[in-house]
Parts: sequence; structure tokens; C-alpha cells
Amino acid sequence: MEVDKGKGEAEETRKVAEADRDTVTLKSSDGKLFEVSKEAAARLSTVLAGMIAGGSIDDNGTDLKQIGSEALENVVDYCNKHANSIPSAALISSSISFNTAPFKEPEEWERKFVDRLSHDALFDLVEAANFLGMERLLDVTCHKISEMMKGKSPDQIREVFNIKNDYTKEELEEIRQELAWAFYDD
Amino acid sequence: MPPQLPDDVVEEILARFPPDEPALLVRAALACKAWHRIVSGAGFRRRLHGRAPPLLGFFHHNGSHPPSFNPTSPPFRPPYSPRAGWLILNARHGRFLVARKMTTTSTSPFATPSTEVVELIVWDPTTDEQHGVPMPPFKYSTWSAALICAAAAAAAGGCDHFDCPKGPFLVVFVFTDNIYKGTMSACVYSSEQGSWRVPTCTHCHCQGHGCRHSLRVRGPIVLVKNNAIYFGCDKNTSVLEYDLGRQKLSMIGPPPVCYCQDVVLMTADGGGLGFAIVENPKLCLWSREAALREAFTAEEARAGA
Repeated sequence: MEVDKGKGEAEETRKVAEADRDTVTLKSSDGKLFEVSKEAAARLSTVLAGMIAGGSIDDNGTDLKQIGSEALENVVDYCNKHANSIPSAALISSSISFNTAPFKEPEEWERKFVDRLSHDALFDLVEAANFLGMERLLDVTCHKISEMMKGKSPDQIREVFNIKNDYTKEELEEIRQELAWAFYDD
Repeated sequence: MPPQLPDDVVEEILARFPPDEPALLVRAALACKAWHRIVSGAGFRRRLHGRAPPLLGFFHHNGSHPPSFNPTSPPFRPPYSPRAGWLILNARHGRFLVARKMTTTSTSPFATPSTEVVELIVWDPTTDEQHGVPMPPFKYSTWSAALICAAAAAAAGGCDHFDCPKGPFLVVFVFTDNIYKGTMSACVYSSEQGSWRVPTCTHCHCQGHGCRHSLRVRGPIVLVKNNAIYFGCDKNTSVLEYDLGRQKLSMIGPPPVCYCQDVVLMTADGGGLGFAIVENPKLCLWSREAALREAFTAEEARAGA
């Protein structure tokens, strides 16, 4: 009886410890583990918030099979940096009603954060942010990409995004004539 | 070789393009057909229309020349230009209400040429589509008119700004037949019915509202949030309110400090009626509290106006 009671208590303590843990462990598609602040993860990612609330977080590493280790490292890095910076009221409200709220310019550290990424790493990070439902990270990464597209011709855009032109010459000419104002710079 | 992004991620990127640089979206749509499909899809457009529309530029009247377009976000420029003799009265969701003027010269060498508005036109500068609206069949000496999306005037839902330039519209025409009689009238043209409705019982007296001058109507301020349109009267010393839902015209007073000052009607931050007054060296913005009706609050004062 005594032993059983002890076991029960130990079990209880372990559960409490789990609930009290202030980090969650995430596992990338290639099996690498990353620790991230539970509060930041829940605040910044709707998907992770749902998993934490639903109890589907695995202590040994929650599988995120769609995200490679480099992108996940950047996600975790972003969450941790975010946890250390003081979020402004405007930032919080923009993550709640992102469709109608005006886009808030990236803060200095966010700009630096995306500026140091390689082209491929930036694209992988956008995909990861989209998969995890991270509105603010999507805003910041997409802002960087739209800056990369400024002043670029459709040909240069295809190169940046690795896409094949499937228009005929005639189709392109027709659209260019119809929307000539968009090409005054060329 | 950079990784190819799935369509849903591309949509997220394109939807976050700066709204005041529409050329970026057009260029992106020319990258490939899949991207063209994304930006012209109903879901994407609904998303764009969900946010505050950007100011791309404005038309400016300069003497007898046709109105010229001044872009605030170059290189945007509407593909079609206003014609000579056009007076732009008002704009709503990309469409413009234009008064077409015609100068008639008498055969007598002593008569002075007279200019009169012969027709109203609802004009889309991106397609040059023009919808002629005949002048109302009433006697009027001073008037102003406002363009409204018919959807905005209908029930609670209002206008979702989706495809407004193709939707039915209303023109609200406010007029007086005698500027000293102190009565105003309003009538509405509906593009769906193709005719002017009978002027509603909207005569209103402005005595007691500080309107000591003649009733000359100024340009309208259109506010659909509370289903009302405001027209400045005389030197904006009083304001006409036309309630679209109740089809009622009434006169309201300006903020208490406005009398005898030149003020500008504007949309306040919250979407209600506002006034801008220059009180050197400050620009004072007043907003009318909907709940208090007649009450105004000084909202903001900025130095160095």
C-alpha cells in the first residue's frame, strides 16, 4: 500500500512537472530536437497553441515532419528572440485581426533576423511559418520577399521563385497593353 | 536552384504586398498562370478588399483644363483620363461621379456664354466605362451630388467593397430651388431602376442653426458606416445630413467654435463626421459622436499644420 501510494505521488509530481515545464521540444523532419519557450510558441503560432492546449505535445519531441532542421532552428530562434523582446500593443492586436489590421513594419531586430538568411533559408522559413500558423513571422518574411521583388521584371521574378513561364508571347503582350501603367518603369 | 513554393504560401506572400504599390501585384501575375489565378481568385480579392483601400492618387481641377491625376504612389496612373468639360464631384470605390458641362454661346454678339451642367456621368477610369445619369427633372438653383454603391445603402450588411465598380449605384442629389427660402430637398437616382425617385419629404428649415447666409451646397462627404452622407452648406457653417436608410434630410450644426470660420468636412478616424479647422498655428480636428448626435469632441490638435 505504502509503495503504491508513493508511486501515485511520483506519477502526480511528474505530471505537474510536465505541465509546469516552460519549454516544449520540437522535432524536425530530419530528427533534430529543439527547445522553445512554451509561452512564446503558444503566442506566436496558432498550430502550436492548439497542440499545447490539446495536450498533443510530446515530451520527447513533437514531430513536425514538414519542417527541416534549418527552418525549424530559425523558427525556434525567432520565438526565443520574440520572447525576449517586449511586444508592443499594436503587434498583439495585429496578430489577432491580421486581415483587417494594417501591416505593422518589422521591428529592427526582425529586419536583421530575416536579412541574414540565405535565399533558400528564407523561402523554407516562409513555408514553415505558414504551416505553423505564425502570422507575425509570415508578415516579416513576406515583407522581405516583397522587398526583393520591387523593381523586378516578370522574368527576374521567375528567376527568384524558380518558376517556368507558361504564357505565350501574345498573352503576355495583351496583358502588358491592358495594364500598361504597371510597366512604366521598364 | 531555390525551392518552389506551394500555391498557398505564394498567396500569403502576394496578399502581404504593400497595398499602395499595385504594380507589384500586376508584375507578379505575369510570372506564370498559376500566380495570375491566385491574384484574380475570389478569395484573394476578398482578402485585399478586407483591408483599408490605399490612396493611389487624386484628381485635381486646374482652371479650364480637364482634371489631372496626381499619383500618390507612382507609377500608378489610371489608363483613361477625364475629358474637357468634366467636373469631378465625388468618388466611391474606384468610380467617379462627373458633371459634364457644356458652354452655350448665344448668336447675339452681346450675350455672355453660359456654362451649364447637362448630364451626370458615373465613370470608371480603369475601364473608361461611362454610365450617363440625366439631370433630375426638378427646378434647382444650387445643388451637389454624391455617388453611393447600392449595396452600401441596402440593409445592415453594407457594401463589402467587392466588385463595387461593376455593381448598381445610387446618386444622391441635394438641391434648393431658391437659396433664400431656406428649404432643401434630396432625391435619389437608382441605376437599377434607371430613374430618379420622387424627392422625399425632406424640406428642412435651417433657421436657428446659425445659417445666416444663403444655402449654397458644397461637395459631399460620404459616410456609409452610419448610412449617412453629409453636405457642407454655405461656408460649412451648417451641414446637411442625408440618412440613406430612413431617406431623411436634416440640418445639423457645426462644432461650437466653427461659426464664421472656414472649415473642411472630413471623415473622422472612427468613420464618423469630422471637421478640420485651422486655428493658427494648429490644425484642430473635431469628430461628431454618433451617440451624442449634436455633440462634438475636439479629437486632436496638431502643431504646425
